[in-house]
Amino acid sequence: MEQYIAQVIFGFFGGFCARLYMLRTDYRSYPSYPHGYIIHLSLGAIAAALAAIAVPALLTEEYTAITFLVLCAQQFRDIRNMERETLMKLDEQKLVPRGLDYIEGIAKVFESRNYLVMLVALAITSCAIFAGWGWGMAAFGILLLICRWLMRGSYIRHVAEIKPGRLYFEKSLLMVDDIVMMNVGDESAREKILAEGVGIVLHPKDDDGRAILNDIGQRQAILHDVAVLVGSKLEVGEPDWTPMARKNIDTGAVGLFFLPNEKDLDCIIEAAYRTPILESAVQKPLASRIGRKAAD
Amino acid sequence: MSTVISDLILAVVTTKENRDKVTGSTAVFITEDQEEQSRLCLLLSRILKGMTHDLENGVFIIVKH
Repeated sequence: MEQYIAQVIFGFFGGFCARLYMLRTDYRSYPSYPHGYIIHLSLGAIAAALAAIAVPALLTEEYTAITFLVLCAQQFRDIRNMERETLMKLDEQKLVPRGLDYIEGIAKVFESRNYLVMLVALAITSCAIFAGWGWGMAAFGILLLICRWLMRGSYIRHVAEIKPGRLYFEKSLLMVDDIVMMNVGDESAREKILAEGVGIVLHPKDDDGRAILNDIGQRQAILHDVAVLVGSKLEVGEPDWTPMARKNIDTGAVGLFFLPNEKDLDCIIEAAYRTPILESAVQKPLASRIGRKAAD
Repeated sequence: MSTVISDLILAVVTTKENRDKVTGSTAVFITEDQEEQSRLCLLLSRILKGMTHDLENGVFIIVKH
């Protein structure tokens, strides 16, 4: 085992670096707290250490060690539960919540990133042992690129075109173009909505996009991201300002009403474009023969 | 996870001339005129954390969503 110590350390640091690389805080502001970083970096370090030891243990016929490694790897399944529970509790206190679908997506990402760390550590340790240090370094670089590719995801930009919508009242009904949003009874609220509110319409590019926009969790994710980026005037006990997304049942277009802190239409449209498409919302009717035929 | 009742009519606000349009077990507030009605709707919606909806027949309801 001693002869592989250098490769194991190399694998460990490679895996740890991969976790560090994948732990980015962006506008979705998670994890935005130092302890969240520590939890994920620690788990990443454990995952990297486990995977880096696997191949040398196998080569030195330490089968008991390998059995324990597999047992330990099972523990990473709990990461998803941990993330889900934390985010669900935080979501209860949010004015514009992420929604369960978004939370499930984030939780899945955190679990899968630990498996990616294991893959990186395992692959580069193996390369360093069997093919030499040069190949180990090359594998590290290639795997980081693969991680980056896996992290890119798809966005609303890919499935829908967003246009400004006309915000108006038809008697007491708030409308965005021809989509009914809600009934607003308070006269002063109506005036404020007309003066400061924003309406946009998301037009799906095809039937796949229509299916994605049909998902309630996806719509909530768009509202959440817009609220995070642009800011919403929604306040406790004042539901008149609740941002909402409603569908035109004939065209599949989704109208979005929002009362932003700053009435900057371009920023709101860009924020909606940048919302990630949730895994749970992805449906591909066009991938099937029936779906294609129905879309004619 | 907390349990809340939603989509519930908390109060009905109407004017004297429309009082015949409302019946039932919900709290009904009768006002002198439309000005008082609007003010009462605003107060009730803030107090009850509900939203004012206009039924377009002179009757307003405060709904908890």
